Parts: sequence; structure tokens; C-alpha cells
Amino acid sequence: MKKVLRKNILMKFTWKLSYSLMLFITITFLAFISFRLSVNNKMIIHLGNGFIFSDFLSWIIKVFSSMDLGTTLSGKPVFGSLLKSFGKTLMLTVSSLIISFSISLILGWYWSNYGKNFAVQTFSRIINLISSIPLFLAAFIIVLLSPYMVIDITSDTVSTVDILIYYLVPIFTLSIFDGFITEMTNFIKIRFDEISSEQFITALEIRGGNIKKHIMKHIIYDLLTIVNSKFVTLIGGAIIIEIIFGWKGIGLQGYNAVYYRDYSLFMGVIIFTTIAIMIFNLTTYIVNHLIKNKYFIDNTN
Amino acid sequence: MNFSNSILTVNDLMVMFESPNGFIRAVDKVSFTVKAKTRLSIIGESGSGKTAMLLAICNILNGEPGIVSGQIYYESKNLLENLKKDVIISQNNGKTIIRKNDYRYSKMLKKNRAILKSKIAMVFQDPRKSLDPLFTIEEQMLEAYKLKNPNYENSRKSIYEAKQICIEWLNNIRIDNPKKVSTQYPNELSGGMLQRVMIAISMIIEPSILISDEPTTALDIKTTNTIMELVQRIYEENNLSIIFNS
Amino acid sequence: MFIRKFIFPKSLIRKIVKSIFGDNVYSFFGLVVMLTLFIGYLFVSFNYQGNYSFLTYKLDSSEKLAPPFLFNSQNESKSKSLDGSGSNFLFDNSNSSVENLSTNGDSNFNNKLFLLGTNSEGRDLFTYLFLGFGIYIIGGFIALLVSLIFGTILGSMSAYFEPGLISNIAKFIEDIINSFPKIIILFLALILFGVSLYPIMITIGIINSTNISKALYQKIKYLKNNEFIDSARQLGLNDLNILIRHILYYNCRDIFIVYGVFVIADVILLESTLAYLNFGIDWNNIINGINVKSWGTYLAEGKEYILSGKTWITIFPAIFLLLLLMSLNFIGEELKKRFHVK
Repeated sequence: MKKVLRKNILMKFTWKLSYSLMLFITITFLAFISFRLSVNNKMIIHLGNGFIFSDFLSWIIKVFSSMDLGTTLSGKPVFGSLLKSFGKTLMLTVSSLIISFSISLILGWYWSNYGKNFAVQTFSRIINLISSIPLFLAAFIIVLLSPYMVIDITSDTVSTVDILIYYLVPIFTLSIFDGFITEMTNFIKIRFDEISSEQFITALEIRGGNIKKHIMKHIIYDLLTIVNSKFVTLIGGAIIIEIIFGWKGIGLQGYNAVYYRDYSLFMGVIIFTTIAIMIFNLTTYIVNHLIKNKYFIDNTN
Repeated sequence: MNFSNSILTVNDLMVMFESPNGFIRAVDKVSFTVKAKTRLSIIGESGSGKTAMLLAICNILNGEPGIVSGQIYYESKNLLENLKKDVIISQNNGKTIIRKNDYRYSKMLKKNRAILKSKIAMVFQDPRKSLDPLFTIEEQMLEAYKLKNPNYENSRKSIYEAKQICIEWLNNIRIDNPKKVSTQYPNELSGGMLQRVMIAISMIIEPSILISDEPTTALDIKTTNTIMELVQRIYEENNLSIIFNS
Repeated sequence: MFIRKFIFPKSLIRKIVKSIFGDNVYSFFGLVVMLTLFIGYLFVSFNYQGNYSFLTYKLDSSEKLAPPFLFNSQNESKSKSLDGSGSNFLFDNSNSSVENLSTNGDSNFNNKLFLLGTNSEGRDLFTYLFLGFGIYIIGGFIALLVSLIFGTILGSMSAYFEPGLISNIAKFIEDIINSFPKIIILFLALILFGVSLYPIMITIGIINSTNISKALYQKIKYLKNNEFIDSARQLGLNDLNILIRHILYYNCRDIFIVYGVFVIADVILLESTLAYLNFGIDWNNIINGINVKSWGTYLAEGKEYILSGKTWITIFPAIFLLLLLMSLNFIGEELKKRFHVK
């Protein structure tokens, strides 16, 4: 890579990193304040009873030096139990992200190419219907209709079909019913129409070149700007899906924390999710700046 | 019809656009022929339908936004063959009965356009819009090269050969630093350079007709001079006919 | 006169009316659903004195798990069980007509008629589903106000004072709200405030303010390039005046209307998810003081009884919820098309 480019990317990355660190600190500070205000003796012992800022600083340093977030109501350490279950939620969100993007790409492609059909218009209504079904209801119905409750993945006599159902069904429900499919397909369809009416596409058509390659590159660049917000919403959806489908991820632990008023566990949940979102944002930022050229970045940011 | 020695014959071409007040005839029964190794220039005011005619010849314009009727023969093949039935014009009161094309006709258009593949090249008015901003110049020239040579393999030797041809063409259009320029994106070059690059890309295909739609209106006098010299040189060195619009 | 002329001018009303009664059947259907729910809510909450036989307000544990009145068995031996769980919704379909109401022993307990069946607690679903709509009316209104106010402040501050400290602060606050899943913020509010209506609705309003602020940011940035702002400033108007009068009032009304509908839909969605997860709201109805639970709690309560055949406890709340959400989405989509908002 060229030297100037490398230096530029490093500077921008450090700026973005410091910004996201500031966000992280304010979020944890707000959570810290809110937990301090609620009356709970155990939490006061854990968080301190003096001046807020010094308590906060000491708590943050303790967390990041010794990875000690406290103990749950049942006595287990928070950090260890969350770390075990974090991988499952990540897997859920990332796979459903990929699947939802691909579904909306395909649907948007067909919608822009064959948009004048009556079938396509009804299809758009169907997508509207799907997006208005709440996620918990769809998951609830799917759990009823599919043999999900009967599957026990830890037993010895589990077949591959059961394993597939156990992993694929929640992922597909999350990718389809999280409520943003209409928005994404609309967006992709509009972008398809806009790009295919550009002059370089007509010039390519006259020459006889490969149009799809050019359109796809433009659309993927546009989708990379949406990925961040979609990831955040998918984590929120993953929490509901874990509760209904019985996966032992961060969502279920957070729900139990709220139900039994387990403040330290919930604090750990907050920290884990913010760190995950932060890391994801930074990676997409790096990927954007590496792949895209200056024209695109200047025109979109 | 007599197609001897003629590459392109246009017969009674009409291009119409729909408006709330009826159909506007941008092109009203135009016919001409273009023979091999000739230059044709179309002169007219702005808004007189020149671009519409050229786009119709390249078979881009049917359906939306414009509707085409007439006959366009490229080496005795009718490009508007399947579209004759769509447009019926009665001349009593100037009324037109037109059935709009839907997406099914785009498939027939593709078949017709396949006749023209790599035989016509078009250079548009605004060079910044006619190159993809996300691909480098090298990649876009390589695309044109792959069209010309369908037996292109992704081996190191053939990539090297293709890149050499691109650099050769960049030298041909008198660009100073071809190696650096070929790795740049279109937004980093000036308008005159981009227009010359467009001409180079269209010449890599080795077309039999080069159509240029107002290539120099967006540029100043000096660059127009260089571009016209280039076009003259290309015309003399290769066997092609040029349709020029201004 | 002021309100009609300046907040709802004729062009706006015409557009809204055309979007609902125009070509699109679905938005009209949406309006019909919302109107029936609203009128039903008013009707049910004002008839507290028990004038109608199909409205029951009291909770009686002897009436629990009664099926809806159309689906009763005609077997008298089964029907005369004390706890009322003899007839099943799915398995004993019969063609009973309205005249047979008094002879069926299950759904008419002491001459009471349960149109949609009863709950495991003994609540009549018909009355309590309509009464529960009040939560969404008032809660939606609160959340809408909060999100509009918060969103306009954030969006206009971030776009209008573009290269400055105020815009950076507004963008920072927006990023804080955005970089967090909505449900975790709601859980935080639940931990702090418990399950009560106003804090939850205010947090939902704050959460949904980012939609409006993003749209306003794009629009105001586009409008700033025009020259009417400079000319207005030369006339002597200060920044606040320009913002409110020229930018927000004339140009951004469309955004408020369209996004308002989607905010209400989001409120209903989030509230029902919380209710399904056993954090539902208890609310005392304004008009008659009855304690009402939200629709999601009925869904959650009915989960256990589905496999034994008592499906009406989950189906009717689900149908109401789906109809409401679908109607709001249809209306919102049609308004989007009419007002050309992305």
C-alpha cells in the first residue's frame, strides 16, 4: 500500500477509535450512575459509595485490569459465564446478517427487473405484511409448529437433521422477521433503478460489457454503510430469539438478570454488547476505507 | 433494399416520447445510410432530437422513456424487427396508436442488441458520467479487451499482454504517464483526458462504427483540438466510419 | 382557526385523505381497523355499569377458561362441569346459532356472554382487549411527543450548526442512542423504574427519536444550501426563527407525519415484546379506573394452554396485535409514497 494512504488511514482510524472509546465510556458511566441511584446494598459495596467520578474510574480500571465484573446472585463470576455464552449470540447475529442481506439483494434485484408485474406488486405487499409481524410472535408460532421443543441437542441420539433444525431455524426467523426486510429491499430496488439509469451503464451496454459486475459493486458499497445499524438491531432481535428458542446466550442471561434484579450481571451484558458493537463498527470502518476509493468516501461521509 | 457497401441504413425512423399533452415526436421520419470508411456529421440545435436518434440506433431507447418505430438495418439485419407490430401510426389527424412495451420486449431487445455487440461504440457528452467511478481505468480497458478476445485467460502472461495493450493505447492518445494513469480512478483525471480515454476504450473493441454524441461541448478549445486530431488520426489508421454529433 | 390554518393546512389534509381513501385499499382497511379499535375502546370503557351482556368487567375465577360463544359443544354431559373446561375450542365445533345461547352451559355463566372467551384468570377477552387499547393510545401519544421533540432538537441542531460544537454534541448523543440495541435500553429502564407506563413510554420515545433526527439531518443539510436562509438572515431573523419557521415548519412537516406513524407502530411492537417477556404494563384506565394489562401479557398467559386445545387465549390477542400493526404499516407506507419521504 502507498505510504500516504497508510498514514491517512491510520490517522482516521485513531480518530474513530478515540470517538468510539468516548462513546463506550459515556455509556458505561450512564449505566453506572443509574445503578448507583437504585438502592441496593450489594451494588453499593461493589460500586463504591463516594464521589461518582473517582468511583467510576476505579471501577473501570478494576474491570479492565482483572476482568472482574462481580458475581451473580448465584455466586458465579459474571465475566466467565458471559464469555461462554457470547459466542452463540455472535454466531446468531452474524449469520442472520449475511442471510438477510443476501435475501434482500435477491429480492431487490428481481423487483427492479420485473417491477411492472402484478405478481411483483402483490409480493411487495407480502413483504410489508411480513415486516409488520413482531419477532416474538413469529418465533412463538415457529416454535409451536416445528418440532423444536422436542430436540435435545445434548443427548447422544441426536441426528444431523435435528442439529440442522436447531441451528438454522432461529437464524432464519431472525433474518426474516426482524422488521427491516421491507426497508432493505426498497432501498436496494431504488438503488438498482438509479444505478442502471446512469450513463456509464448505458455505455457499457452499448459496448456489450458485464453490467451486473458494476451494479453489484455499487450496491455492496452502499450496503456496507447500513451494516452497522443492522448489526445493532440484530443483536436486539437475538435476545428475543434466545429467550424463545432457549439458546443459552447473552440475551437469555440479560433477561434473567432483569427478572431477578441481578444488577452486576446486567452491567456485564451492557459492557459486552457495547464492546461487540464497537469492534464491529471499527472493522467496517477499516474495511470501508481499505476497499473504497476516495471518491466514494468523500461523497458519502 | 440495396445494402451494398453500406453498414448502417436508417429508414423512416421515428422516436416519440410520452407527455401529458400527447406524444412528442423527437425524431420524425429520418432516413440515411452510412457506408464503410465514411464520416457523417449531424448538426442541429439543442433539443432537436439528435441524441434520441443515436440512442435509438444503439437500440437502447425502446420502451421507456421513448418509443421507436421504423427500420434500422445493420448489414442487412433489421434491429427493430420484433418491434414493428407495436407502433401503429395513423396520419389522418396526426393521431398515434401506440402499445407500450413491457419487460418482455427487453429480452427481444437484448437479442437484437447482440447483433451490434462489439461493432458499435458510443462516446457520450460528459466523460465523468460515462466511466464507472469505482473501477480504475486499467480495469475498464481490460473489460473492453476481454470483449474483443473472448478466449482471454486469467494467466499472468495474458494479463501482462493486456496491460501492455492498454499502455500502448494510452500512449496513442498522448497521455503523459500511462503507467500511473492506468491505476488511477476517473475522478482523479481531467475532462479532456477522460474523453480521450473513452475514445481509447471504444477503439479497443475495434468497432465498425464509432458514434460520438457531442464529445467536445463540455471541454475547452485546446482539448477539443487535441480530440479532433486524435479522431482524425484514428479514422485514417483504422477502417471505421464515424457518426459525429454537435 | 390558528391551528387549522397553520398546523393543518388544506394541502396537507388533502394529501392525507387521498392516501387513505385513494387508490389503495389497504390503507383504508387500516383506517377501518384503527377506528373500530378506538370506537370499541370508548364504547367498552364508558359502559362500565354493565348495560350489555357481552361486556363483563369483573374477574371471577369461576369463569376462567371459557371458550368463545360460537364454539360450544352441544353435549350436555360434557358441558355441565363446574370449572368450565369441558368443551374445547378446536375439537368440538358445532353449528350453534344465537338462539341457542341460553341452553349452552359453558360460555354463559349467569347469563353472561363471552364473545371471545375468557382467560385463565377469568377475564373476558372481548372487554379487556378493547380496554387494553387505551395503553397504546396514551402511551403512543406520550412516546410520539417525546420522540418528535427529542428528534427535532437533535436533528436540527446537528444539521443547522454544521461545523461546530453544538452539532458535534448532538451527533454524539445520537450515536449513543443508536449504538445500543433498543431492548437493552428498555431493560435498563425496567431495572431502574420498574414496570410502569410513563418511564417506559418516555424511553421508547427517546429510542425512536433517531429515525426522525436522521431524516431531518439529511433534509436540513440539503436545504441549507439554498439561498433563502441567507436572505432571511439579512432581513434580521435570528437562527431560531429561521429554523422553526422556514425549515421545520414549511419543509419538514411531511417527515413528522410519516415518521410519527412509524413511531407509534414501533411503540406497540416494543411494548408487546416486553409484555410477552413478563414485563407487561398494568394500567388503570382513565375513564373507569379498571386495571388493564397489555395484550402481550395475555399472549404470554395463553402459551401454556395451547396444547390442551384452548387456543382462543392466544389467537385473539395475536389477531388484534397483528391487525393493528399491519394497519399502521399500510397507512405509513401509503403516506410515504404520497409525501415522497424516503
